Amino acid sequence: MKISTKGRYGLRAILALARHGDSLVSLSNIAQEENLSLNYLESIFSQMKRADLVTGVTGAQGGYRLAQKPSEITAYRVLHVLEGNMSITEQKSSMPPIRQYLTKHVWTIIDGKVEQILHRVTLQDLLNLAQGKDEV
Amino acid sequence: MKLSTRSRYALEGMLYLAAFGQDRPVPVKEVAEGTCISMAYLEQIFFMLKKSGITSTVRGSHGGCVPAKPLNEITAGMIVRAIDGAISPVICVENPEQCDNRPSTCSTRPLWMKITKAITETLDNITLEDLKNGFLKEREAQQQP
Repeated sequence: MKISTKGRYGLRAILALARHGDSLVSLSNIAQEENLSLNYLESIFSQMKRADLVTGVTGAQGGYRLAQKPSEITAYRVLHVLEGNMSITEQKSSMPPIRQYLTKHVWTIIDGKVEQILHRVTLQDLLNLAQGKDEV
Repeated sequence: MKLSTRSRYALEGMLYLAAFGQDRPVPVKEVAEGTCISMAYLEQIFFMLKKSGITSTVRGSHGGCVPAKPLNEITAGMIVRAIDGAISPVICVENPEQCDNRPSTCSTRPLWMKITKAITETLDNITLEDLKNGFLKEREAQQQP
């Protein structure tokens, strides 16, 4: 599993959006709340919009909102949209025997455990956790 | 993500020593040939492992690297820490001061901490002895006609 800045910032940004419930939120608002650059947010949100994670409304009163309930969006989905393949290792058909063994018995196991966590955790869980309500 | 390529290669190098060294000092050149990792890269890696007390070097014409402890006392977690400093998928878990956000209220931090814990527990539970036995067993099975 590999998580870049984009995935980390993107998850923070979509959680900021989720905190506002159903109201439309402008990116400049999120930029301010999360201390992220507007340019960066624009590229992240256009990607999330294409993947139907968020919906955008244009115009003076426009902004973004979540396309589904926070309890229906998993951390995995958000990261997968922004990161693509999150596997630790490169998957190649021919590898030296030691690399092949460790890929199968160490790195793939770790990838699996991380994926399991990400699939289980929804945006709602993270919101609850941030408010000290729950354990992930 | 801080599980670097270098730490993966370190585990490969250590598994080579464990599986093919059998207490004999192994020249870095041989490890390089066996793992397809460049010699310069491996020299850097073994230097770091030596500094952490995981390997030692034997000088001379039959010199090379040997594990500095029994194989069941060396874990994958120790090897990754020797190379990466800490096991952590994102930098802010180990160093909250690196965060440009507010660590105490960061909405994603609990998730990264949970992931870090899962990775750490997995790596700390794998010993070089386990890896060596598993690898040699699989290799033997593949060599049967």
